[in-house]
Amino acid sequence: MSAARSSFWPGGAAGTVLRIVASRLVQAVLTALVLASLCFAFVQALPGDAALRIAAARSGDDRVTAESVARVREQEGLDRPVLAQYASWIGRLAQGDLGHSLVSRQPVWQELAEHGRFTLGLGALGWLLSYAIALPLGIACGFRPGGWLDRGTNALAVALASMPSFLVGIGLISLFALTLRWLPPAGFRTGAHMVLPALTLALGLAAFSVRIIRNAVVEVRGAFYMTFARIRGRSAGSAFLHHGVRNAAIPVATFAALQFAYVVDGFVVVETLFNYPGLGDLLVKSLLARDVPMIMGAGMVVGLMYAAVNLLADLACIGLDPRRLAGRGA
Amino acid sequence: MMSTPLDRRALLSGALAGAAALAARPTLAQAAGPAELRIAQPWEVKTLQLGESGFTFTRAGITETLVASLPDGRIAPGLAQSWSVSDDGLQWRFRLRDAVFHDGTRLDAATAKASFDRLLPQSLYLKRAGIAAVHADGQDLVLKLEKPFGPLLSYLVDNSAALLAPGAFDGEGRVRAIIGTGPFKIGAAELPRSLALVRHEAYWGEKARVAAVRYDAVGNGDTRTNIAVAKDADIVFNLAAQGVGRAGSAGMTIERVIIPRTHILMLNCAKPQFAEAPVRRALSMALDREGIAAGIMRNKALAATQYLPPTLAEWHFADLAPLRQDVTAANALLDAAGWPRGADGIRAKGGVRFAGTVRTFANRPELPVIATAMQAQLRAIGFDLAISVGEAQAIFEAQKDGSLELGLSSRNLVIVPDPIGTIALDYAADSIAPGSTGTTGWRHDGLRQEVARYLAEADDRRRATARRAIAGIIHEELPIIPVTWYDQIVAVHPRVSGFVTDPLEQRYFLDRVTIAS
Repeated sequence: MSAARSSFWPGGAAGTVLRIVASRLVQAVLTALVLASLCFAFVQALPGDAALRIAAARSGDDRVTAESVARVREQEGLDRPVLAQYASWIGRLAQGDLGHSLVSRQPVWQELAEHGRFTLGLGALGWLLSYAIALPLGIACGFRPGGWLDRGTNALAVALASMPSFLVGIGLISLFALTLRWLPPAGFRTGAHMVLPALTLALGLAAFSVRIIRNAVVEVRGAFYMTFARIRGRSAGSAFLHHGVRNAAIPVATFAALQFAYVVDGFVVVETLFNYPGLGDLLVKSLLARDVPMIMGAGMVVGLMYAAVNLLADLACIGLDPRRLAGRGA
Repeated sequence: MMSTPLDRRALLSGALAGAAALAARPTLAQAAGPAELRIAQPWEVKTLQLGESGFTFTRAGITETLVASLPDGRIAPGLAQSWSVSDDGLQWRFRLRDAVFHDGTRLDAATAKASFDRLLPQSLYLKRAGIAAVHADGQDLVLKLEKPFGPLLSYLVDNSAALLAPGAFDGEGRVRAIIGTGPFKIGAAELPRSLALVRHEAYWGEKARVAAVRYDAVGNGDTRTNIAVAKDADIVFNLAAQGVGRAGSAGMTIERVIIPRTHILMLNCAKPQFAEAPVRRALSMALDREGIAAGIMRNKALAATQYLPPTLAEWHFADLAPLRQDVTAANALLDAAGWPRGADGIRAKGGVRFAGTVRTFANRPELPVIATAMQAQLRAIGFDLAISVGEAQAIFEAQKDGSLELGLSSRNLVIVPDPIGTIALDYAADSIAPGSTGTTGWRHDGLRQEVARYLAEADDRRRATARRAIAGIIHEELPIIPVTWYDQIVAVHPRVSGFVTDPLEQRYFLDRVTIAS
């Protein structure tokens, strides 16, 4: 590990990197705790009886009884003072226990892992697909700014970016599932089920990233060091490959990380439209049911994932441009 | 420095492989077999407790009760092949049939009693039947009642008290696995979204014709329509009315049946503007039910002419004057009741404005639209209706604290096949039940007496008299205003045959279905 790390971050910077990671982890844990606590406070501030909503979520509105509501209230301790409920959650958390869902009665971590795996799978696929689309297009546009491809891509990107994802999804379903019958319209069982939701995500993400990539390429190509490389006799492509890619990649990596962070907390609309059991779907249902432990657990996990993805992006940027360590004591 | 790009490539490859593995895992774990019957329906299985999810397990043919209801409402033998009742109506003896649970345990009176002992206290309706004791006597299960209870057989269809094997319970008596006796058993479960069912080869009756069923919950109505149009499921339940044309054009067979569910306008009769029956009748006469049924529900036949739909033949009475729109008569009734119109066209009486806010919810997407239609229709008789769309539970909370003015909701009338279960809860109880969408601020002693008479009566003829009296009082008094009935729309794939719609929604009869190869 240390050999690989020293090859990635040259010049004995591993110690600095480790310090950055440790500091960020502490920040992330504290942020996640604050997030979870805010979730708790917001849910408590909502009007209405939580026990009633939990009982209704378990059995459906028609089948709720006074007894089932009373049972939920007593068994889940919802009749205790709010601060006692919060203290109990903190106490359990200190022992590494996120508690259990008040609706399904399953451990929160288990529910999060189950839904998280679907969201991560779909999110990663959509994210990778978006860059498979955006990278070649963005670079090609950056090489010919103002050309027909650049103008066409810009128009398409603006259209896609301004369109809500459910519209894109409905369009894809109409074309590929209902008209051409190539792909299933919803579900989560096979690879084929993932194509349309992943493409819906990818198109939405690529609409933004293609412009970021295009602008980064244009900026880098106009930089002095690129002119210098050309003066030294390198072709445009060779100069870009040797001197441009690394520099252009820095803003793109930062933006890509932000986009990935955006996908990890789930896509409510896409998940609902495609009946995909991800974190967004879980969060919405938990909110409607006032499933406090699930909401708090999800808040923590999403916060930690955001922090982890941002940390990875920073590390990638340091790897791409080790000068960034200079100000951090390396 | 040369190793740096290689390491990055390795990182990228790792990330790609990880995403692919995450993405592919469902594929490997959940691939569907070719001879599988694929069901898409809206209800998720949130928990394994029968009091919460029992209806799903019975509908899917996993669990069974002592007796069962047929699509025409008659009660038929279930796990009890016959029964008898003592002359005083206090002791019911059920002869159990030779059945085997999904785990191989044989059903006998002792296992049935053990199941009852655990599930009866948490049952939804059966516990209201006043069962004082359950005894095992040879192959007979004996139920002793506190007092005669006429509709016991209907209450025994309560799926929250279906019979489960001893192995289905944990040490605390909670259900830890669904081990029933039905024609299908659970092969794999991915709660809350999916059940993989396999045929129960040792089923006591005719074995299921399909070997496997995939039972998926698809909550979004538009998504269910898409699944039907793409023929990606064999049977799609609760198809949205707007999707009927598209699913039909795609080659799916559409089955529509009016089910015992009524969309109702709830009134707080303790409020002065709704306290008098003639005023409530005027409000009812202002509603264009046929327009709402045709325009919003897409089925003119759903216009509710009385509270209980014709599907419940014993409870639907042709001699009750149909509820119809008559704005002129409604205005005359209000004028006579002393509610003159003000300068803005809205009526008032004794400083009370003829107005109110209707609470409704969007879980049933048609309800806010119906509320909007009613807003215009009620204005024609000088009633100012405001609309508040929120959570379904907010209606009950407003009923409880007395702040409810009007509510637009939907009531399932047959949690058990006899609607008396719902009527007793909604119209003749002292407290408002959370799941009820019954009366608010209304009490009718005559109705209570008829309900009590019906519940205690075993004689069919005398029960019929009580039924007519109960339906008549609700129809005349209108403590709630029926707006539309509701139809179950099912899209069936052409490769499926033998599908039966059950208007009571107790069972889906998937065991009778065959799939063309």
